[in-house]
Amino acid sequence: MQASTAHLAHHFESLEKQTHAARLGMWLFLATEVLLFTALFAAYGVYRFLYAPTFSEASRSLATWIGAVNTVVLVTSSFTVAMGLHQAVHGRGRRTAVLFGISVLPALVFLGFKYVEYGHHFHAGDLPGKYYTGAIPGVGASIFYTLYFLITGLHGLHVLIGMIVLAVVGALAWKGRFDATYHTPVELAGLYWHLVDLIWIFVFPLIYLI
Amino acid sequence: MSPSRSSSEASGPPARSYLDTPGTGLRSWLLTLDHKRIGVMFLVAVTIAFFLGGVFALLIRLELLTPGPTVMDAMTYNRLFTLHGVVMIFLFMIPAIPSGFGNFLLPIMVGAKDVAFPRLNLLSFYLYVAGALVALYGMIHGGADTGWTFYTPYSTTTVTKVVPILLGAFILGFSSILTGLNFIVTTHTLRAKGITWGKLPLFVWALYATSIIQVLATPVLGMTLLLVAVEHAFGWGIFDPARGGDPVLFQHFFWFYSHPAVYIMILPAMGVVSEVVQAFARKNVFGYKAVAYSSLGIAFVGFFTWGHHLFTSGQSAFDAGIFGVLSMLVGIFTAIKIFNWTATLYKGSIAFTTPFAYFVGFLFFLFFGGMTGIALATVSLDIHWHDTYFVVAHFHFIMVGATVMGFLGAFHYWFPKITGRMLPDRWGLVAATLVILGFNFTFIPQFLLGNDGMPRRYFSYPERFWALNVASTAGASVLAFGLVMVLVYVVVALKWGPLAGPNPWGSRGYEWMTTSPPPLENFEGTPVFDREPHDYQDAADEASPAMAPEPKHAS
Amino acid sequence: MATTNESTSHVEEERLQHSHAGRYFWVWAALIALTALTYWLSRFHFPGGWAVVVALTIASGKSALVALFFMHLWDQRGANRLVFITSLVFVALLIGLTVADSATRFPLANPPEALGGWPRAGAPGRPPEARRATPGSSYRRNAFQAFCIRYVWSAVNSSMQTSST
Repeated sequence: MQASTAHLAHHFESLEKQTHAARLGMWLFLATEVLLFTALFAAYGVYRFLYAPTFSEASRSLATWIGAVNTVVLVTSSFTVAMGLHQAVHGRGRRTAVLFGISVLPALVFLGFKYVEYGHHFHAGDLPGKYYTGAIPGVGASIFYTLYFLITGLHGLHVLIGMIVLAVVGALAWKGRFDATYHTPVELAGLYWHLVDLIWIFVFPLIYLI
Repeated sequence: MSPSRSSSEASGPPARSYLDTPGTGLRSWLLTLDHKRIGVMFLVAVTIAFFLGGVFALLIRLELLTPGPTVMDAMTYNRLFTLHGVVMIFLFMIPAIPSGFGNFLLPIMVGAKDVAFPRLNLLSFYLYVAGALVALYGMIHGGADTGWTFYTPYSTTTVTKVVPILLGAFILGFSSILTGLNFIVTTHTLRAKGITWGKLPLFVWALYATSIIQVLATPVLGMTLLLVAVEHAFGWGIFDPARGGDPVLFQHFFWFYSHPAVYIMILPAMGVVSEVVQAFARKNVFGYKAVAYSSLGIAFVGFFTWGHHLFTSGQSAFDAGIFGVLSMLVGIFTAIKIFNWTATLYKGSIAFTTPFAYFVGFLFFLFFGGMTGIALATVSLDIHWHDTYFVVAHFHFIMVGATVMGFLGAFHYWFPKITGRMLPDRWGLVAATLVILGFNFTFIPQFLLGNDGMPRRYFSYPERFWALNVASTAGASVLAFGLVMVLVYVVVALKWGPLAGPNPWGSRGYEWMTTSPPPLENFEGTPVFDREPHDYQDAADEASPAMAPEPKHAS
Repeated sequence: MATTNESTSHVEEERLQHSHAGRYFWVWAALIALTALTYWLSRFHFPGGWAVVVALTIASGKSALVALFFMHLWDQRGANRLVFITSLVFVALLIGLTVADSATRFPLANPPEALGGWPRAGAPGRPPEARRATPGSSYRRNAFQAFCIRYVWSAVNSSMQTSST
C-alpha cells in the first residue's frame, strides 16, 4: 500500500483528511458549475414565461425521441461510472479503467446525436437570434433557439470535458496508480460526470418535453 | 518588567524565513506553492492595479474641473470611467484583501502549513495575471465606454472594445472562485488542534463568508459576461428587444453577482478591522459570536438584495418591494458589527497607531456610507437619487472609505509580519490624516451634487455644479497625495525599515505567535493553540505598543 | 511531522467501502423508469403551468437519486450536503425572483409580443396570444397581478401629473 503515503501532501495530517478536503473542494466546484448553468436556466424561465405558446410550439418541433435516448444514454454512463468507482474502492484498477472506458462510449453516442440534431437545425433555419429563418412566427422562436444552443452547447462542452477527464483517469487506473486507500481522482472524476448527467436530467424535460 | 521585544530585536531577523526558503531567484517565486509568496505577489499586483485605477480617477476629476470639456472629449471620458470601475473593482477591490492578505494569513491563523490546494492557489494568481493582461489589451485598444456595469443594449451594440474587457473580467472571476474554494476547504479541514470554530480569528470568519459569496455568485457573472460577449460578437439577441430579448434581464443577472460582490469587497475589510481593533484596544472583541455570525448573515442576506439596482429600470413593483425591504435588513448585520467594535473600545487600552487611525476612518465612513445605503434602499427616495452623484458618493464611502481604509490598515498592521520590518508610524499617521481628510473633501461634495441632481457618468454639467466639482477634485488631489506618500514610505521601509521582531504590536492574534517574517511552514515546530485569539485579559507578558523602545535601524 | 488536526474530532463515516453495486443497479433502473414516465406524461398536455410542475417534479426526483446515491451524499458528512443544498437555494432564488419580475411587471415593460406586451409593428402574422396593452383588461386569471398593475399605473399617472408642473 505504498501508493497512499506517496500521495499524502505535507500540509495534511492524514490521507483521510486530504481525501475529505478534495471531496469538499470538488463539491464546491460543482456548486459553481450549477450556478453557471443557473443563469441560463433563469433566462429560460423568464423567456418561457413571456413566450409560453411559442416555446411550446418550438419544443414540439424538436425530435423528442433523441432527447429521451440521450437521457437514457447519459444515465447509463453515470451508472457505469458509479460501478467503476465501486471497483476502484476495492482496489481493482483494471476493472475501473474498463468501466470508465465503457462510460465514454455512451457519451460519444450522446455527442453524435447532438451533432445530428444540430445539423438538422442548421438546415431547417432554426438558429439563434438574427439567424433564425425557421417556420415559427414571432420572436419567441429565435429566443428559444438561442437558449437551446447556449444550454445544450454549454452542456455538450461539459460532456466533452468529462469524457476527457474519464479517459485520463481511466488510463491512470489501468496503470495501477490507484488502490483501495487512494482513489480520489476516480471519485472526483465520477462526481463531475454525475453532475453533467444531473444537468441533462433538467435540460431534457425543459427543452424537449414541455 | 521590561518588554520582551528588546531581546528579540537584538537577535536580528529570523535566520530562515519564507523569503529565502526554498530560494530567492525569480523562478522560486513564480513557481512557488507557498501561500505566503503567492499572497505577496497578489499584493504587489493589486497595488499596481490600485494606482492604475487611481490615475484613471484623477483624470476623471481633472476633466470635471470645468463644466465643459477640460482636457478630453466625451468618448475618452466614457472610456475612463469605465476603466476606472473595471480596474478598481475587478483588479483591485475583489482580490486585494482576500487574495493578498487572506492568502498570507489564513493558513497561519488556523495553524496550518498551507492552504488546502496550493497548486490551485498558484493557478488563481496566474488567472489573475491572465485576466489582467486580457483586460489591459482591451484598454490599450481604447477600452469600453459602457460603464463597468456593461448595461445592454448599449454594451451589445457599441463599437468600442467591449469583448476583451468582458473576457478579462471572466477570467478574473475564475481566479476569485478558486481563492474562495481554497479558503473554504482550508477552514474546514486544516484547522490545527485547539482551533475550533468558536476560536477562529474573526478575520478567518470574514474570509470564510467572503469565500462563500465568491463561490456562489461569480459563476453567474461569468455566464452573464459571456452572454453579452456572445451577443456583441454574434448577434444572438438574448438581451435585444428587437429579437424578443429583455435588456433588464441582463441587469438582473449582472447585479445578482455584483451586489454580493460589494460584500466580497467589504467583508474582508471588516475582518481586518476586527483584528486591528482588538490588537490596538488590547481587548477581546465585544460579542465574538455576533461579529462572526453577522459576517455569514451579510454573505447570505446580501444575495437577496440585488434588485435595488433596478428600482428605476422597469422592474415590477412586487420585486421592488421585496428587494427594498431586504436591502434594509442587510444593514442590520453591519450595524451589529459597528456596535460591537465600538463596544470593544470601552475600557480598552488604546494605542493610536496608524492601523488604529485607519480603523477610525473606517468606522466613520462605514457608518455614513451604510446609512446612505439604507436611504437609497428606500424605493421612493432612490427614484430621486438613482444614477446621480449621490449613489457615486455612497458607494465610494463604502469602497474607498471603508474597504481601502481596511486595506491600508491591514497593510500597516501586517507589514511587519510579512516583511519583518516596521513602517514609520509618524509618517503613517500624517498620510492617514491626508487620506481621510482628502477622502472627505472628495466625496461629501458629491453627496450634495447628487442630491441637487447632477447625474453620474456625465462629461459636462451645468454651471451651478461647478464649485462643488472643484471642491471634489481638490479633495481627490489631497487623497492622491496621501496615498503616494504611503507608497513612498512603504518602498523606503522595505529596504531600510527598522527590524520588527516577532510581535512589535504586542498583539495576541494567532499570527503573532510565529516569527516575523514566518518560516516556510509557518511555525517552528508544532504550535499549541490553547487560548482564544486576542485574550488580553490573561496576558501579562506581551509588551504594549505604548512601551515600545526606540526602533533600531538595520545595518 | 504532520500537525495534528482539530477536524479529526469528527470521524469520517466512510461507508463507501461497503458493497454498493446492487444499490447502483436499482438506482439506474429507477432512473430509466422515471425517464420513461416523464416521456409518457409529456404526451398528455397538461393545462397551464402544470406540465412544467410535473416535469420538474420528476426531474427533481431523478436528480435526487443521482445526487444521493451515485454521488454518495447519502453516506457522506454534512459539509458536502450543505454545499449542494445551498447552491440549490440560490438556483431557486435567481430563477424565482427574475421570473417573478417578468410576471408582475407593468406589461409594457416586457419585450414586444411577450405576455401582455405591445405587439411588434410589421411582424408577419400575429402571435396567437398577443394581448392588448391596456392594464387590467386581460388579467382576470391573476387578480394579484392585476392589482399590482393597476396600482403601478395609477402611481405612474399621478406622478406624471405632479411632475409636469
